[in-house]
Amino acid sequence: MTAGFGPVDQAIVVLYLVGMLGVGVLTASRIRDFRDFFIAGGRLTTPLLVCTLVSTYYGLDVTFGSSETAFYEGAAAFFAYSAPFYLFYAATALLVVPRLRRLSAISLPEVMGDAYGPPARVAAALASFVYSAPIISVAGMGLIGATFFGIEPWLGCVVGASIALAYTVLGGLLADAMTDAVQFVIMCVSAAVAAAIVLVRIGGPEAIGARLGSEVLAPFGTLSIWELLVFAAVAMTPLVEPAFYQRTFAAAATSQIVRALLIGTVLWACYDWLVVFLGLAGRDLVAAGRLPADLDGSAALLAVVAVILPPGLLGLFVAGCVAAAMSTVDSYTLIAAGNIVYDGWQAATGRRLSDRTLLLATRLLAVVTLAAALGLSLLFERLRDAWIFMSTVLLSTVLWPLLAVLFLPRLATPRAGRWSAIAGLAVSLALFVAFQTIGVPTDDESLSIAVGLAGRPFEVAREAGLLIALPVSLAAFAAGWLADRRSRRPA
Amino acid sequence: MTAVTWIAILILGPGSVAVFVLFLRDARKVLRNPGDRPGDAGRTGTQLD
Repeated sequence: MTAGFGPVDQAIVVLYLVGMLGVGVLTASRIRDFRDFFIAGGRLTTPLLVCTLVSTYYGLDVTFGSSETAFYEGAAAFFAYSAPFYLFYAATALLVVPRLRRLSAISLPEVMGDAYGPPARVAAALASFVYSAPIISVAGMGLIGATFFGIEPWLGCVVGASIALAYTVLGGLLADAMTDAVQFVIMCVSAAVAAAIVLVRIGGPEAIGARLGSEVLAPFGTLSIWELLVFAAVAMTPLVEPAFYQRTFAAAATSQIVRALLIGTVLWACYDWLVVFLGLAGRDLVAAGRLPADLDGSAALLAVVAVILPPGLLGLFVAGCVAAAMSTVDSYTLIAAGNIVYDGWQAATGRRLSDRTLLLATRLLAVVTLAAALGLSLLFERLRDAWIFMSTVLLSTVLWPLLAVLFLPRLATPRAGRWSAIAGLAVSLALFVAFQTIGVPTDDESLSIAVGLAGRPFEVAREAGLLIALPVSLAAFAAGWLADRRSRRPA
Repeated sequence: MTAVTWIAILILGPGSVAVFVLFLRDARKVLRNPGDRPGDAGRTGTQLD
């Protein structure tokens, strides 16, 4: 257990966990049908939407992942990785959301199914499940449990995930959104307070740059053009983000969700910058000998706050990390389970389930989802790689078909969407299996496969899978559209 | 960059508290049981049964 983390800190974290359970019990009585459970009856207002969007989308993948990237790559973690996302948050708010609100669906796979038929809906449900399985946040709770409570990582995962599961199963999206509001303010305030204290104690980015070398502040650091391309492609994820779609359908009005996403974009940018700054501070403290030389990048943030923050504030920060993790675990578990039952099962069997069955099955599948997330989390050494894998599966399966539905409905023919979704899902998963089975470890703890192209050898990294699967999915979309067009022509 | 860091701290800290206060104002309205509000009958979305 970390030395500075005393009984007061532990009490703060335990109090927070008990409070979350209380909210779940309070909202459970408000659930009358699946629509209430899955999209909170469509009555969320701007402040609640800001809270739930910001805290859900930013979990430990961002908190630990961005600080980890900053620890290794410097400020490029913000400029090359985070910044492109802001463009797509704004595009989602202004272009995607108003079009989605005209549809009668309540989930992303349902949008696919309405446009392209059941096979596309099943493929989208599976992709959404892979994307939404809260791999990183579940693993992160294990890390927090081990670092601050001295318990085994698996026990930390199980305890944290069980509490998130309990209130989500009880109160669905409403409980999720209510707890997100508390989690939102804890994670934002704790990050701001931690960054302010670190700033005062060790100086700002310029001071760190002066000690470590100005390259740590270079916008693109030592990243290769391929890494930059992958980052830019992954930044398109907000356009097809299942949690954004769910909250769009859960909003009381279109203007409320548009405003929430735009306010959220500003808050996300601030959060990103502060977390990157804390990652830089970790590298600075290692160089100064105040943190171990073999410190792992994913633990850099926790190591910095454990050294810098006083008791009480350390507890608040750890509660903030737990909040970031739980707000992601609860939301995405609900989406993953709901997508499999409401979309996958109903589309695959062609049977409409009653509200009672939907509720029961979704609640049961939430348990399975968390178990799957725990298993998947063991396959990745670096948090960012897990996030890129999940985004690759989602983007390859649904990006082109959904963009066609929303912006070019003339192109949204059944075979185009179906072929694109199935090809994208199959190729992205096949690439992942290929890398896991025949890939060789790289210096940065990823996997790569050597291929020959025009007589020259190339190393293809696992993270570059998106640059292969996305064009394949686009080609399948074009082929399907041509096939539909040909079959419509009179003989 | 240090100035930017301070601005981010000031937006994220007080800003999130302000959003949370607005949330508390809305919470009772949102927690009201479905069907209690006149507008609830309007938007039905997908019907499952």
